[in-house]
Amino acid sequence: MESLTLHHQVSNFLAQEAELLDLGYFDRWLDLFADDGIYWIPSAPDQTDMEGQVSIILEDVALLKLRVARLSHPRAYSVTPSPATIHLVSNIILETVTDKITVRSKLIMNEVRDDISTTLSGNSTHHLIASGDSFKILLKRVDLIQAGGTFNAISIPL
Amino acid sequence: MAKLNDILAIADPDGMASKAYTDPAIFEAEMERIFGRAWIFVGHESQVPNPGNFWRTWMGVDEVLLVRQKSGDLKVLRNACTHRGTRLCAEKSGSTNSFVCPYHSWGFDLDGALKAVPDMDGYPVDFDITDRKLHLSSAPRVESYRGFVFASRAETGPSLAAFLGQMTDAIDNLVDRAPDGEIKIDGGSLRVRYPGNWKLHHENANDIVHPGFVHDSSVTSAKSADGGVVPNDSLIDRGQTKGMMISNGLTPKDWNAIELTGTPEGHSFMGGFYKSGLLAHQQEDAVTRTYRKSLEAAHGKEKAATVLGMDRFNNLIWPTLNINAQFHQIRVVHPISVSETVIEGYCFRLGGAPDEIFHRAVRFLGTLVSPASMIFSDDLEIFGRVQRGLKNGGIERLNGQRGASTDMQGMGARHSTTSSELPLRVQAAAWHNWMGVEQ
Repeated sequence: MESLTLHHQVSNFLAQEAELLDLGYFDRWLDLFADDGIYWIPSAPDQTDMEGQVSIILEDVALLKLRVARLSHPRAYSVTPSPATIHLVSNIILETVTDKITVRSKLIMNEVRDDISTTLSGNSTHHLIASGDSFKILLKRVDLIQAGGTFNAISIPL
Repeated sequence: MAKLNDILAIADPDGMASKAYTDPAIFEAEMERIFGRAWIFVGHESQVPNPGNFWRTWMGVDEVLLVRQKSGDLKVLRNACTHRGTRLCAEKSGSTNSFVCPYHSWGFDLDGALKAVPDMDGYPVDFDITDRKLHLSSAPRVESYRGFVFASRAETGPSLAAFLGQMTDAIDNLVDRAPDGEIKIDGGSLRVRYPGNWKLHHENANDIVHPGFVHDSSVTSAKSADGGVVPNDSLIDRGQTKGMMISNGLTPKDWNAIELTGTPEGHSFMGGFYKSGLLAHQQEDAVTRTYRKSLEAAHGKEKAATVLGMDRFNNLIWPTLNINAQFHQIRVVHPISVSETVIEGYCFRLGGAPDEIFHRAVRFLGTLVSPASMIFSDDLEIFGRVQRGLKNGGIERLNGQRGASTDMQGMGARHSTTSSELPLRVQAAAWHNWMGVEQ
C-alpha cells in the first residue's frame, strides 16, 4: 500500500508540473527543479553522451532561468502570440525507489499557435528526490519519438 | 514556366521581386537553373570515409546519395530506382555493397550501374542492362575542396575553384585549426524546418541590423541574468550560451564597425569583430592554452596566431552553405518547396585538439541550431512572417538599398564598412546570373 501512496504522490507531482507549463507559470515550473537539477532533451534516440553529442536542450537551473526569462519577454517573437498547450502525462511507472526515485512516463504535447497545431510525443524520465511533502527534480529527460528527425521551432518546454 | 525576361526583372539590384519567394513556377526554375547547375554542397568527406559508405542528402529538392567508391572517388547518385521511380535508400547513412530497390529488387552498383534485374528472361532482347539510361543518374561533376564535397549537375560551367573564389579561405581556416590537419563531422546534427523560402536564411545570416531587434528577448534576458544568475562556470556551459545571446546585442554604433565583403559569385562574410573589440579575440583558459600550444607546435607560432585570429563570421557560400570556422560549424540550406525550407547544422572535431574544444563546438551547435534555440527560434519565426507577409501580394518588390551608396569595389569583391545590405545585393546578383543564363 505504501508504494500505491508513493505512486499517487508522484503522479500528482507530474500532473502539477504539466499544469504549470500549460498555464505559462514558467517561474513556478523552474522552482520544481533542485538547485543542481538538469533538463535534457537529447537529439538522438538512446543518446548517452551529453558533451560529445548535440542536444535539443541541455540546461542547468542557471540556464533555465535565462530560458524562462526570455519566454516572458514582450518581444520574444517565437511566442508572440503565445501558444496554447496541453501537456498530457500518462503511463506512469515507478522504476526504482531508493533515496532517489526514477519515474518513467509518456508525454504528448499539443501546441496551438496562430491556428497552427503541432504535436510532439516522447518518453519522459524524471529523477526525483523527496523535498518537504513534495519532490524536487534532479533530472528531467524527454526522449522525443521525433528525435533524429526534422523539427519545427520548439518554444514551450516539454 | 516563367519567361526569361520575367525572371531577369525579378532580381533588381535594390531588391528582389516578392514573386521570387512565393511563386512555385519561379521555385521550379530555381531548381533547374541554380540547383541543377551550380556547385551545391553535398557533404564532408568524413561522412563517407570508406568504400561503400553513403550519405543521403539533397541537391535542391532531389534526394541524392553521396557514395564513396571502391576506387576512393566520390559519386553523387539520384536516390530513385530507374524501373518504377521508387525511392531506393531510406537510411540517412550507412555502408553497403550495392543499392537494391525494395519494389522489384533491381540492384545497382556503388557507381550507379544497374547490375541485376530479377527474371531477365521476361524482357525483350533489346532490353540492355548496360544502357546508361537504366543507371542511377550521377552528377557529372563532383569535386572536393579540402574535404568539403560539392556537386554540379551541369557537364560544364565554372570550376569549383572559380565558383568558391576567395571563400576557400574560410575552408582553409577551418581545416588549419586542426593541429593534425584533419577535421571530421562528429557529435550528431540538427535539422530545423521553417515555413519560408530558402533564400531568406542566407539573406538573414549577414544582416547586421536585425539581431538588435529580432534577438532582443534573448539579449535582454541574458544581460538581466548577469547578476550571478548565469555564472561563467555554470555546470554544463561555462557561460557560452549567455555569451552567444549577448553577442547579438549590437547597437547602431556597433553596426558601423562591422566590415562586410560580398563576392561576384554571391558569397559574403562579416568581419571586424575582433578588430573593433566587439568580440574577444580569443578565450583565455586552460583548454584554449593547451589547444593553442598544439596548434603552434603544428604550424609555428606566427601561422597559429593568423589562423586563430581570422576575423570572419558567417562565411556564406551561395546558395546553401554557411561556414563558421571559429566555432567549427556549418549550416546547410535545403529548399523543400517555395515556402518551406530545412536547415541542417553540423559541427567538426578538430584532429589533435583537446576533447573540450570539440565539446564547445557541440555546445555551440545546440545553442544556435536547435529547434529549441533561444536565438534561432526567433529567426525562424521572422522567416515565417516574411513569407506570410509576401503572400499578401501587396508588395511587389522588397527593399535592399541600405548602404548602396557606400559600397566600395576592390580586389574582386565589394566591401562596406557600414550596416550595409550588401550581402543581399550580391546574392541577388548571383541569382540573376544563374537564373538568366539559358542552358
